[in-house]
Amino acid sequence: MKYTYYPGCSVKSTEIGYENSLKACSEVLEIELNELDDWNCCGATIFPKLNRKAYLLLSVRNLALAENYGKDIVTVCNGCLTALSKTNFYLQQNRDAFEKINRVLEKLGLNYQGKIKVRHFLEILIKDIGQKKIEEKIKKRIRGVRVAPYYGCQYSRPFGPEHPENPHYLENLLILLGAEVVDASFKTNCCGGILTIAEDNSHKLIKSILEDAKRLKADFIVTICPLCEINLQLFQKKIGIFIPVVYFTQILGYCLGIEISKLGKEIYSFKGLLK
Amino acid sequence: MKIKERVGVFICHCGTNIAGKVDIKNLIQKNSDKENLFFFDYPYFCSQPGQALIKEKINQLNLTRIVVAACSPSLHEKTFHKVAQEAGINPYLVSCANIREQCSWVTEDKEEATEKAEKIIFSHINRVIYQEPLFVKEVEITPRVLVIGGGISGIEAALKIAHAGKEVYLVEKEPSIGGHMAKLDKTFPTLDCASCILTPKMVEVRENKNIKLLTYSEVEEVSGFVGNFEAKIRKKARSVNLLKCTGCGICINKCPIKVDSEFDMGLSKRKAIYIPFPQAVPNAPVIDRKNCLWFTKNKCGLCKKFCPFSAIDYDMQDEIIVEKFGAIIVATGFSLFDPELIYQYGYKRFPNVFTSLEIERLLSPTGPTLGEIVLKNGEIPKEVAIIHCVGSRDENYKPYCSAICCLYSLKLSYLIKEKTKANIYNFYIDLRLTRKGGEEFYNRVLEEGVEFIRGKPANIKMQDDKLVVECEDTLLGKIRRVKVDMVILSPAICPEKSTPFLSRILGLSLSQDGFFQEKHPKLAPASTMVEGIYIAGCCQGPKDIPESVAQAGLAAAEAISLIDCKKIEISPVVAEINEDYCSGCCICVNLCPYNALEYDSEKNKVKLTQEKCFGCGVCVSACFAGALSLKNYREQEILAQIEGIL
Amino acid sequence: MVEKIIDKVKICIQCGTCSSSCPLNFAMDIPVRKLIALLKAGYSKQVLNSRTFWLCLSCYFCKVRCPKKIDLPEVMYNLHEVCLKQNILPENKITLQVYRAFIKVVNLFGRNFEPLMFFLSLYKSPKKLLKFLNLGIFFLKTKNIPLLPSKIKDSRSLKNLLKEADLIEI
Repeated sequence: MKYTYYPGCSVKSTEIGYENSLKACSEVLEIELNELDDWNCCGATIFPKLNRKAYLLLSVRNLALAENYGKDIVTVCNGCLTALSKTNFYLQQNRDAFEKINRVLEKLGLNYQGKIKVRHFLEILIKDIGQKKIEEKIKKRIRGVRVAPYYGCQYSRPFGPEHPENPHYLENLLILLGAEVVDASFKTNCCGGILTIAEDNSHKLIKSILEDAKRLKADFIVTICPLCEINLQLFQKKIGIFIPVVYFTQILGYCLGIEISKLGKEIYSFKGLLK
Repeated sequence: MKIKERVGVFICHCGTNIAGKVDIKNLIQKNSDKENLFFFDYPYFCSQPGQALIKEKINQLNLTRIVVAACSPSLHEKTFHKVAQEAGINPYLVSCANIREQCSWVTEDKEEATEKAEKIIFSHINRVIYQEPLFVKEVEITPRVLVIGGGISGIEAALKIAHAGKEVYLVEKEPSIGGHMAKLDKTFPTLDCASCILTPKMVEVRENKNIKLLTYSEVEEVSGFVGNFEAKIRKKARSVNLLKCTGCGICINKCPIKVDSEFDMGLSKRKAIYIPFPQAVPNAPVIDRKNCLWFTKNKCGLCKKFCPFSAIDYDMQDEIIVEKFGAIIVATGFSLFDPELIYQYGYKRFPNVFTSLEIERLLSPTGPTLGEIVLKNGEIPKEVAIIHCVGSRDENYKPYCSAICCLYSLKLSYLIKEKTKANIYNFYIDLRLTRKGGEEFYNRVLEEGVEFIRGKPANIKMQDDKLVVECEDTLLGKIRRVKVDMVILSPAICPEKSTPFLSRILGLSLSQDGFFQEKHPKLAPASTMVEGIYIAGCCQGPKDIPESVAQAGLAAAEAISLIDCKKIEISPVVAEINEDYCSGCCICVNLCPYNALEYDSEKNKVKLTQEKCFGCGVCVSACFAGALSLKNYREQEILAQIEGIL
Repeated sequence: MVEKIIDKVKICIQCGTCSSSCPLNFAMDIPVRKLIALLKAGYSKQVLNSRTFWLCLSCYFCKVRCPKKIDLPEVMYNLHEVCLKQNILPENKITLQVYRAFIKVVNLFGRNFEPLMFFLSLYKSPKKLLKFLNLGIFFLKTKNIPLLPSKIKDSRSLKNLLKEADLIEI
């Protein structure tokens, strides 16, 4: 299975561990990820607030470049997923705008036809690869460990393959890996996003997620977005609740038998729990 | 062009409507020398003297064709047809030329109006020569009505028809009639016990000789047309002989299998052999073959062993009943929206979140708690939230308003407060209390101290074993987190599950919300676009009991008046098929809105049922081979009309 | 511009689902629903001067739950844009600092570079910067702190593209 890989800014800097585990898992599962050459930032949730036209064009440039590869885009960040999907939707609904934007793109020698779909790697695992194939490659299982799945808000909203408030692909994956999955009502609550730097009020959201996870006796939280991971980890000292937070690809990688050193440093935070 | 027929052209002044713009005198003078054309004019041809004048001229001059140049045929075509018929001319040899709506009323220029009027008149003169006499067809009507659905609407319709002395079949898919109303405790605003007012009607249905009651039965196929329908009904095997069973209940006692009770909305268990509720009609059990040990594993057999009347018959088979009907009334009711789809309301995830119908069962003295309102742990709730518009008025689920929820939410508030003294909170967006007595009931409920918070809750959460309803009190502009013991959801009223299937076999259209489409929302709410098939109750749209009963009465009246006619006239303006040209491509079959065309696989041609045809002409224009034509609008007639203009 | 925003919310029935779904509703001065009502009623000045939309996290709870399917986050984004055009700044200065820092870095490298972005956001508020550095110690244990930014090769074309963006009429 081949896809165009859109990394997003976070996994190229502090979240390089996420990308490492993603690449390691893809190799084992025979998924070919071709990184989009010269991709630019998606604009996250900041550009649309300040300059929505620039926001559209940032995404369109990525989509146009990806169209040359001819494969769907796979990303591992909710923010990037939303930015690119929203742009696709907007272009579909506003044909005149689409034409005007293409005229601007042509000045750069680019053109976008609207043929690229954008998907999260989690969806690829469950829908395209399938649980059966993953199961065949599993070498270890994490039995007796209680896991809280945390999707974050932008995986299933505003667009997504699953129910906007009750997705279950992550639970499916974790159950496959042998974990005891807790019923996390907070699984699509917002972590505070980019506002956690500026707005102390948003830390209450992180607090309530950590509190719920502790109340459900979860041993660790599994995330699918770098911003969620950072937010949930960074403020634990301030809030006073400590619980390891790891990426789904890292857990998956561990169960696929990949060496821990290739999976990113986050995985060391729950080494003690793993058998 | 030589005109062989003797054509009378009657140009109406219509007061000044036509005469004010069209120079009629000049027009007549200009054409008075044409052979076999006789022109007349008069202020109002639709009046008595006007009509008399036409008859006089027809007789005097032995006219063979008539052109009436006046207003739109939609107004007076029937009038002039009658006039012609009374004067001895076939009504379909009359052509109405519209020189008012299409001429004098749409221009200020008198010259233009006169010129156009002349062209229109001559186009109709040309056409009327080619028209052929057509005769109305009379078909006999089967004096029997089929009512599909045995809820309050179906029961009411069946009773009205039976009282009028007509034979009626009442088909109900559940083992007993009664529908959703039998599940209710009390009805608003009078707080009548629902069963007490329903069961006498149910008994009457059983006793009335004119009603043939078929319960545990479903309609599988319907064919035919108005006055002459044929229905195939599958009477499912009850496994209990109704003639022998006395309803003693010994079999039910002995049965070892327990299954979720559908009547109690899954809140209690029933046996594999069961009577759905105590006042069921017929009051005899039915064996649920999917769960009965005898049918699944060939074991047990206790019910048959212990039945003192030998009424249990394991070998009973489904019976297919084929019967003819003159009219059909569809009264299949509604289904309730499943709030599990709205994840944030916690239905089936948190304990003590109920739907309104589930609470009705709890309130009912024959329900799982014998009328006690208790939580899952047996305690009496102290704080209860009722959430309106769950799935209704919501583009994400059902965009329409379900009409009855506000009223029954008030009723539930009153009844629950009376039984438990709990604090009740109604979370609403708007209050729609249009029923007679609704506003007074609202006052009563406010006086009892029931609280109303205007705001649609975002979600329900669990906090320390209590349910927390989070919403913005929009009248205060504050976010409120109300802690309650029990949450009641008022789900949307949705089309019943068999609606798409019935719409296919009966040829009925569905409106955008999925309910059956009525012929006219204001003036014909119980009729459909299919002559002879009527609809009543919630299957047409959400409504309460008094409205359902009223609509059922209307449907019954329509059915009775149809059947009383004994014969029905079918308009002759219908399509005609020349089988020699038909290749069996079936393009026309899918286009017919009235299901009048069918593919005959034996002949590899299309068969037309003229009695179902409304003469819309869609099939005629679609037929590539020209096999279809429309009477009174055949090619020669239309081409002649065009020639007359040019 | 405000007219276009009002156009989007004409169909609002004021049910209040948005306000109650919003995770940061407790920190807002005007509930989201009331903000929409004020917009419709023509009180745009009060709307633009409120704190509410600056707190939008783009969690999209409001949009998926709105019974009339109004795209509320889009409305909030539009309000941000209008405010900046009219130079109405938020109460919380750091919010705008963060946004401006992000945009600067993306304009510079075509991609975000966290260390620089963090610094540019908070250098004007040293107390906060210290707080974050304190918390950020854990980063050293489990994260890789990049020294050099990841850049796109063709940054000039991106800059041109963004310049052209302003000129498109959409």
